[in-house]
Amino acid sequence: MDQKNIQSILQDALEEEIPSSRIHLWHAVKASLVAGRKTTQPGEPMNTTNPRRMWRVAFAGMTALTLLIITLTTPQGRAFAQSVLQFFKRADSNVLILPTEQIASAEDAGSISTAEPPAPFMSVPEAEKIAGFDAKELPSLPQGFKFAGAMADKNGMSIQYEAQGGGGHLLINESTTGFMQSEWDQAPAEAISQVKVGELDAELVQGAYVVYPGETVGRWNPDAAILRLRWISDGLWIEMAKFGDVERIEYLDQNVLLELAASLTNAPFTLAVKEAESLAGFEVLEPTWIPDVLSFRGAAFESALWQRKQNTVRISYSLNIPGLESNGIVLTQQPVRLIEDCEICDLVGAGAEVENVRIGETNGEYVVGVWAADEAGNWIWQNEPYLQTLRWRAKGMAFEILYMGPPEEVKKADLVAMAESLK
Amino acid sequence: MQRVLFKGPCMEDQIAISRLKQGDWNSLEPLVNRYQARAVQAAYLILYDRSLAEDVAQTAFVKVVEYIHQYDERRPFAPWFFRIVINDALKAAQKQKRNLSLQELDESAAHLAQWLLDPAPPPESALEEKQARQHILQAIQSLPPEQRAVIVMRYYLDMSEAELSTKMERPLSSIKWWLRDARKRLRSLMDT
Repeated sequence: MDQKNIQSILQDALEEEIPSSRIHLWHAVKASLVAGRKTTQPGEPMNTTNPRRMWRVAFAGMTALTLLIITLTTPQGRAFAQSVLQFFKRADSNVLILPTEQIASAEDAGSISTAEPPAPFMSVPEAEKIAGFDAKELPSLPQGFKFAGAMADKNGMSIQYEAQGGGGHLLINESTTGFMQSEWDQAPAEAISQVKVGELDAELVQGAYVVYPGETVGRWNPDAAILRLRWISDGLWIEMAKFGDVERIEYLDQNVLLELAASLTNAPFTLAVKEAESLAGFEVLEPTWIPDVLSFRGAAFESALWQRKQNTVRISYSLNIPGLESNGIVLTQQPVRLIEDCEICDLVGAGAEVENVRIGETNGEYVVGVWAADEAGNWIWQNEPYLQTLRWRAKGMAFEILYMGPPEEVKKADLVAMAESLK
Repeated sequence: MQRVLFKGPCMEDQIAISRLKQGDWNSLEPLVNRYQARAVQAAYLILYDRSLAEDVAQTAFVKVVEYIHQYDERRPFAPWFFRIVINDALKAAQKQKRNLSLQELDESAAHLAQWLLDPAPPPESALEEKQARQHILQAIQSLPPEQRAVIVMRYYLDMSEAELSTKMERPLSSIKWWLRDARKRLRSLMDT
């Protein structure tokens, strides 16, 4: 069924549901405009009001007044007022009464877990595809951590770091739909601090509910080594959480966590090529030719200490097409000391059509497509024309040029030409 | 049947907008008359609440006047306007939190979702056709609001994937994934 048929069916279905002939908005719109006219100055946006909105404003005003009175006169009201702009659910007490099934599992700790197995780790770009948004990432590795991986579903994703040598984690959970608000996620009001992440309001919690041996309730332990920070930025609900307090990550206190949170960025390619080269400790090659539709965005360094098996440099070029600037090419370079440590020498799927190409005097491989998870979480190779990859190895280095974007803008020959121009 | 032209500026729209920029609010009337049905229906596909959809469309027209000074007359009006409608509908949907699970759809809805997606003979009787339309609406209702918005823009408002990418402020790759996921979800109804 083609696009026009689908469009026609939808139009017919909607015409049945809401006939066009019965939609008359002009009088209501005009009334709204007239209501807003008195407050408007030439050249300024209008303070517009529509009848329904006026109703809501009136209702909201009455409600606010009522709330103010309650707030000023009752303890419950004062508590309610404090709950405005809350990112953590306030627990009623320092003791958490557990549902029966959780009491059993707490007592059985150490026995066989009946929990669902954790979702598989993946790279951040893969998680972004599943979550459907560009994640905010740390521009560099926090000291003492290594990158563990990312997990995602359609509502959000989690970027996870593990303390080197174990004993701690740093999690960055991002969602477009809201925060986890389970029983265990709440905290007593006195444990919640109002803080700022940059200019944004945030809340920070130190401590956790703990079920001690022989008990059937959770008790709030303010000294538990769990630090959680929540805020909202650019439409994303973000939680950063640090677990554990081994010496290697002891430095990461509330202030450092706030600094890390403020550094989260959508643009991880913030380095100059020379800066990335200096961090990586190997000579980074740059193309002397790139397709006209691309321009240099920036470079990134990914350390063998925490994120990669080998120090890796990635150089990003974005498409110069309005609306498609986030598409483009990423050129990745990594030393290949042991082939099993090469992260850009992986196999592609059985359904992939790998093409051998010549890059100057070197053999390379070109493929169209990407690994993608299906509904059941199985990884399947999909021949998606929107992603093209060229890989080759030379002089102890592995190279990858990954192009994501409209296939008509950058073609295989362009990738090869770019590869041949590396110096 | 009304059609929304996205491919270039519409002369009538441009005249109305020029007058609007000069402070003549009555020039909004032809824009309302031209786009009101499409705006309410598009919002309805995301919200599945007629009253709320009308509210969203009405507010979108008021916002046109509020923000007309930000509008670039060299570009067509419709995509700019429907971006307001879709964004407001999505915000309303988030408040509404009205996502039905796939399990809530019956088998006939599943069958017709497949009919929507794959070439197949059209329903033979008028009754079947009417049922088909209803089931298609139900199938779309099962998607999360953002995917509904993508379906609305792609298949109802006839926007290209590149336009979707711009309107939704998401990379084209995300749009492709959403569309694919939406199609997969609809297709998976076959197995329910």
